[in-house]
Amino acid sequence: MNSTLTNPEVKPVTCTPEGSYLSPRVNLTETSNAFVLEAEMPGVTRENLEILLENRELTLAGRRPDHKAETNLVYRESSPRDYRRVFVLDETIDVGKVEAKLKDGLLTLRLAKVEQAQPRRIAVTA
Amino acid sequence: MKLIQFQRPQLWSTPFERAFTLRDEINRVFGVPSGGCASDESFTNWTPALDLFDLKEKFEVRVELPGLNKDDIQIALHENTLTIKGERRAEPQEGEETISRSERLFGRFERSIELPTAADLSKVEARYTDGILTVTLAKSEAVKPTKINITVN
Repeated sequence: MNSTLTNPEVKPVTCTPEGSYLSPRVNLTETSNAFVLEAEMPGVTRENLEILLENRELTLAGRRPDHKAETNLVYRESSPRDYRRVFVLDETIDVGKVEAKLKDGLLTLRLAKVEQAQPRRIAVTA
Repeated sequence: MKLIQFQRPQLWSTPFERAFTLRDEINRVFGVPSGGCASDESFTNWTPALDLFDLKEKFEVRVELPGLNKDDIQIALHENTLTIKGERRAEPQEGEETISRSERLFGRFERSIELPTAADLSKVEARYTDGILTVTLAKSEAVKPTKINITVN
């Protein structure tokens, strides 16, 4: 699913075949100088996480290598699918300043705003 | 994380309390927010996914709990019913201004699963890695609930 970060009202656009990936749940918070995107990807390690930024498209992909084994499984609620979700970043985000952190299955991305989009004080000169 | 003895739900001391608790319970089931009165329970509709594996000598229960503090997880075993409960707290971002998308669920959760056979309480281990809680329970015929600490790796 595509989601435009700065406008949550935009209807998501499907860009991956329906049903082949699991879309991680995300929270998006806006601060004065950045957007913070949190994505839940339990079972994904750093080695199996891929964050791809191409043009203005941000792709989060997480694999769960030992997750598909059906042997010995008595009861299952978790999805056997890998995680994937695509976001489109608009011009207010500085794509050169994206920081990522993965802890306890929660991915936190800090997307800094371009300077023009940050609040600033204007000095009165006359 | 601690393994605690199973506790039966508290009995209501007065009919009034009973009525309020029942109403809150009904509201909780149907997802209606509790209005002003009575309950301090903050249950959400959050139902973390739970998997059960039968590994010959032992059972393995895995629960998806991304972004939790492991001290906020409680595990209880009573006879062959395993109960996992806890709370996920929202951690505000530094200099937070507006939340423009909110899909993550916070608050308390509780999951119970009946194991196909009884487990040996002295051989229960739990670990929390990459947002997955894994509880390993050795199979046993003995059923004797006690209070023990669990090693967390």
